[in-house]
Amino acid sequence: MRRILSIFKRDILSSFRDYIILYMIIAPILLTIGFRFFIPSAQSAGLQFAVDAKLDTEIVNEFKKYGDVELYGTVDEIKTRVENIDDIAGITKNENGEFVLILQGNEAHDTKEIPKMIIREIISNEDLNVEFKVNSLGLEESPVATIGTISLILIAILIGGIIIGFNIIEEKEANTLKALNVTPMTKFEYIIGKSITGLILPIIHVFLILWILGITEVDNTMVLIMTLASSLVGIVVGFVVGIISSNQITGIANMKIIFLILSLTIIGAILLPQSKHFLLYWAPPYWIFTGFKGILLNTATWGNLINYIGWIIGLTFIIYIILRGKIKKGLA
Amino acid sequence: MLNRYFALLKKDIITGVRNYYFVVVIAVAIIFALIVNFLVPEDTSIKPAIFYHVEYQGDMRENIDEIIMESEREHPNVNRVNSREEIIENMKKKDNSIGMFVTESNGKPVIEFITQGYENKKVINTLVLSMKNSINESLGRKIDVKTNILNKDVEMERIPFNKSILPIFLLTEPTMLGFVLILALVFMEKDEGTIRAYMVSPGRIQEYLASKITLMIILGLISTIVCTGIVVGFNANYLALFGLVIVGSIFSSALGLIIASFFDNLSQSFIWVAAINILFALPMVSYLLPSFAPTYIKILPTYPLLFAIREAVFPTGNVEIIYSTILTFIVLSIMTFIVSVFSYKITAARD
Amino acid sequence: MLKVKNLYHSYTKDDNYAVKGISFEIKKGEIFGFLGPNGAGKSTTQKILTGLLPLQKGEASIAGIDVKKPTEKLFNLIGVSFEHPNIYSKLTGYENLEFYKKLFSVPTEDPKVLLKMVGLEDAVNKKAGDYSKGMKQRLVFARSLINNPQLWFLDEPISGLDPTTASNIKDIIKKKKDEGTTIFLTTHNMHIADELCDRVAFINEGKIEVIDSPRNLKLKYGEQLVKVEYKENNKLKRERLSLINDKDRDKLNKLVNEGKIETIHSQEATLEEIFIKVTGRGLK
Repeated sequence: MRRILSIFKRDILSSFRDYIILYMIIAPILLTIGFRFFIPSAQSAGLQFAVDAKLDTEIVNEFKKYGDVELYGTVDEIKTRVENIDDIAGITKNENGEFVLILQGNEAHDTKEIPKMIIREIISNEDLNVEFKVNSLGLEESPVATIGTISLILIAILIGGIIIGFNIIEEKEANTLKALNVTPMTKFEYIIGKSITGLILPIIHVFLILWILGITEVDNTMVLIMTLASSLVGIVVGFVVGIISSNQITGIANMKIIFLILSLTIIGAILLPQSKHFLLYWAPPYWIFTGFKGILLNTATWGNLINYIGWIIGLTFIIYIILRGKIKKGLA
Repeated sequence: MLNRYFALLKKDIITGVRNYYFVVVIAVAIIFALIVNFLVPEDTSIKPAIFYHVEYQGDMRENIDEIIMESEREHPNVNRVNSREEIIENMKKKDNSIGMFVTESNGKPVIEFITQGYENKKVINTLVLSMKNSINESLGRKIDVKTNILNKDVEMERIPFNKSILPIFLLTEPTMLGFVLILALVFMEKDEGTIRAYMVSPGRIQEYLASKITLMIILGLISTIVCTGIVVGFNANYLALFGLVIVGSIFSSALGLIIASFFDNLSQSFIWVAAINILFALPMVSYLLPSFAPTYIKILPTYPLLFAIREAVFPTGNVEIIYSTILTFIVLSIMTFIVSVFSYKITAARD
Repeated sequence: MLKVKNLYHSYTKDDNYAVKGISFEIKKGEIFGFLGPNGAGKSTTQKILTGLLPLQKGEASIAGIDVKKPTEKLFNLIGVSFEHPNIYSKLTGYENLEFYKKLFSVPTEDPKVLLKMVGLEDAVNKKAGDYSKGMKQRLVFARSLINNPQLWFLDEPISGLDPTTASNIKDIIKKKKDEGTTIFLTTHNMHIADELCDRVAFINEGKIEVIDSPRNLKLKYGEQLVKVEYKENNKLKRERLSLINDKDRDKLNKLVNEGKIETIHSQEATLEEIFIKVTGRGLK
């Protein structure tokens, strides 16, 4: 135990010297704060209209009901604006008093069609004998917010792993690993000592992230347990990268591949229809994603959670068994 | 001067090969291309799914059915369920979904939209508006709106979703690749101390940095050829694409060099690398949601770059964006390169 | 060849100088030893002279070229052998030299010849990262010769090498001197300085305390002693006798005349002792 703690202490100390631990602690928090500012603008995103300022206020207000309105004095100004990269529809009237829609031609379907509907709504005088009602389920977290939150959590969990990996590479490069190998310390103690950073930081981070984003109505025990299980993945990733990389440069190369796999599983989990999700079952990050999503949306039961965690631990264990020989050899 | 540059480049390429850079870059490009081609469904959509149930049996039932059929054809994610309860049940499982329930009251149809709750007012208004519009159309009340399309040549073909993410990959991988890889290269040489051996030779910083950037361009082009070739074949405007990847690589790797000059190893620079990467990745959101373009995204250089890459991969005839982006990036690249040379002059020799 | 006048350097850019007003000159074809303990300012001076550190205050020129504005021409003239091996670990020994060779625009040596000269002919195609420490050091040494430097900076060239290799390296240094190369040797090893250098400078706390040839220094600062062993009443006695002190000289004469001496050695002061005497501190 004393030796485990001294490994942990060394890591923390060496990290502090380079301000790394400070960065590690601050990075996810800064990202979360940035994200907090980003969500409202992303959530309020609608269509954009470049409207002729000479049009009646009522008309302008009608467009404001469906999107963001920018006013322009002349038709030429509207045209210039429409030709920008983003999608925006220009609206003016011709000399006959008819509405004219100005488009660049490459806009998405909604930007082309919705303004037409608004114009029809404005000029149509026929009454529609249909009643419309809108009711909501009261969910406040948008998918963007949920996915973003989970991504932040994943980043926080992985940062612990990355630091472990690069600490190992550093020790390899400085040959201090050899010095440790001639002490009575066992490989097991070394591994545990290295892992503490990867376990403690994510817990602090995950709760801070949830707090900053104002997500309070979640089961904290579930969050804690899910975080602990997920940290295992981060730690194993860290060790694998640290061990198979002989220097920082190969460390980066390996990290790239692991990150590609990771982000593809997440993107897959977001985009693939449920029926194709089995394609992702092999990837632990998929289960982390699914688990946290369930927790954040309050749909996960303890049964689900045990299932997810079972997958995470099982898969991590399999990866560990496969690489066990390499880890032992790599640390020699 | 050129001799030294080629000697440096040869050395950097050998280093890259022996550190598996080429293998990794090619493997990543192939994996991505295969996933895009074979795993991501073409009709994947980020639009919300719809769950509906129609109880209404009155005169307009036919019109409503017609509208629903029409949208089922256009939109892959429209699902019929058997009751309002079932709509809600399904919606709770899928947070990116909305519900529509049609009943009758006083002889007229009542269309109830059930939202999750996070949707903004404008989105809900648009939802009601487009339903109204569809009903009017199905009742034969169609009003034409005069449309002035500025660029008639620019006709966007419908790009299948899976292929449409290729520009995102081209931005993050070949173009921004240099940003991180070059850091690793420089830190390795700092660690080896070889940079000092170089500094006491007649070789100058400009050549040293230019050679590293060239390696990044080569890697970027290889990655571009591999994944673009597999995903869209010969249909892309490769000349423009190469131009964009080259200027983008110069910019991103020169930026990486500036960061590298201030630190001694990756761990120290990690936060900056991550922050800049995330910042430069933000335009992807605008790419996926083209009418979401707040100023803080539009001012990022990767914003026009991403759309210019799309134009090069899926040409619509809007070459202007390619030229202007290349021009912008040439200026940016020269600036970042000059800054990187200066930051090395100041910091490289220091212990 | 090398002129240094009133050189100052402060890492913190204030009055806290690591090098405080150093001046010296090295003539063409001379081996100049720069001696001092760690942290005395040796490396700082060498870094300024090789352009690794900017020249803040003072003047320095190599073959008439101002070091303050190092030109390509200057770097073509010099060769630097670093104390800590700095080589491309992913390149082979040969590739390392081949790469370095192309950086120069003056006639260069054949990498293979250099590698053979330092005894690395069997490791030509082995990655330098897999070299032993001594091999790496020899590779750095060989690399510094690739451009046939006119002014050759050597930083602790034989520290950590085995005696045979060290002797081989010393021979190369002597040979280069005979060919007319000017050599700036930084070390804290007094034996190699004594053996190789025409002149040495003692540097301590950023200042040069003394510059002279090892011989002159010994004559000036070393007391001339003789160590004798002789038998007296069947007992072996050892004594150190001064050649200047009259009493000692009489005793020595007496011992010689009586034929009692078993061994006799002249006992010069070592450079190390002189260094301690001059600076008041040791070299380690």
